[in-house]
Amino acid sequence: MSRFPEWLKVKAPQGETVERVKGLIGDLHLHTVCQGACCPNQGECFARGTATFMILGDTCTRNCRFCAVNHGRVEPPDPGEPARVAEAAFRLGLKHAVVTSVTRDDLPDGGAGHFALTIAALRERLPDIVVEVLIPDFGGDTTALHTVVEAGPDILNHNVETVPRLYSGVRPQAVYSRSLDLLQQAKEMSGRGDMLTKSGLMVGLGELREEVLDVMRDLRQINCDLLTIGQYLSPTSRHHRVMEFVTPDMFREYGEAGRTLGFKGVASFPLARSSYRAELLAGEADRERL
Amino acid sequence: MAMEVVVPELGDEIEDATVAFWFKKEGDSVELGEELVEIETDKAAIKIEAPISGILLEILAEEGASIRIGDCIGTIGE
Repeated sequence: MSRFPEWLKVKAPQGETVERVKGLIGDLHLHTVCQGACCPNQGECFARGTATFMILGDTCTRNCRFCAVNHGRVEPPDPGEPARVAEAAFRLGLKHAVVTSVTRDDLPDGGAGHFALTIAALRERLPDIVVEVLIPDFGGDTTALHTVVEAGPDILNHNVETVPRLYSGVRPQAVYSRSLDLLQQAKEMSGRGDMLTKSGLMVGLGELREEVLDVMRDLRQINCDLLTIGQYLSPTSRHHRVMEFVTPDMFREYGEAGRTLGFKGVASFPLARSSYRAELLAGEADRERL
Repeated sequence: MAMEVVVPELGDEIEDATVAFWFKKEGDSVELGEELVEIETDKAAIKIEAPISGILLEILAEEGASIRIGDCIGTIGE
């Protein structure tokens, strides 16, 4: 008898395209959050020839209780990495690249400059590519945020991850209001209005339905455009427990609530992840704009 | 020639898993890409597909067995 409901069963990462993607990532000495976070969608995404790049190393300075990425001593940023990300995006033929990072509280700019260089490298190599960044909170440093926004990503994602009541147990080094402020400031800084902001929540951590709806309202209050909601899965027994497997019906309800609240696109289903099929969610927003 | 059914890499931190369920028994024929066995890690339930068409010759890890990434858990041949 499986511990997991049927709706959370996934395909293993196997087959020629999966091996090609993994080989290319390895050859270019890059990291993906797909592998770093042991993402359950890895098999599907790699088989489709896509991956989400994780820059600034594979080791994080924070130790969030939900996340599988290594925590510990970090290396200086690799100056060749932005060009190699662009090269990988080119070789994979990506039309929509998602770039995230580990959190680098050790760096004076939190790694913002490295994000900006990566965005610039992607634009130079692939002028038509849609660039989505999934950024850390930079400790609330607005100068760092400005550096990323100035580089001109099409979509700026920053996840609130969970409801405020659960922050101390799930992401103790983060602050809910700081994450909201970051999203609001990013929107204001972009000025021209065509950069979309995006955020995401994991559910199944013990939150209540009304708390999820409150987070959605908070995000709409600051004009956040896109939203992802997915089931939290615990990477190991050392991580935060899964408190509940949220049903597909409940995800649908959250999705409908989000659209009613005015998000331009909502991905709410059990295996939704921040960057899973990100081009489809961006496409929803595009249709909205037309 | 028999081909091994190998537990694929599932992520940087994942080293082991458990066999949850074989969809086939020894001697059954399988098609390339058909669901063969379900394994579980702490994080997910993962279905491994047959890497080739043929006969499932051997099951080397029974349901409930602990397995490691890279282990051969069965063979498919003619």
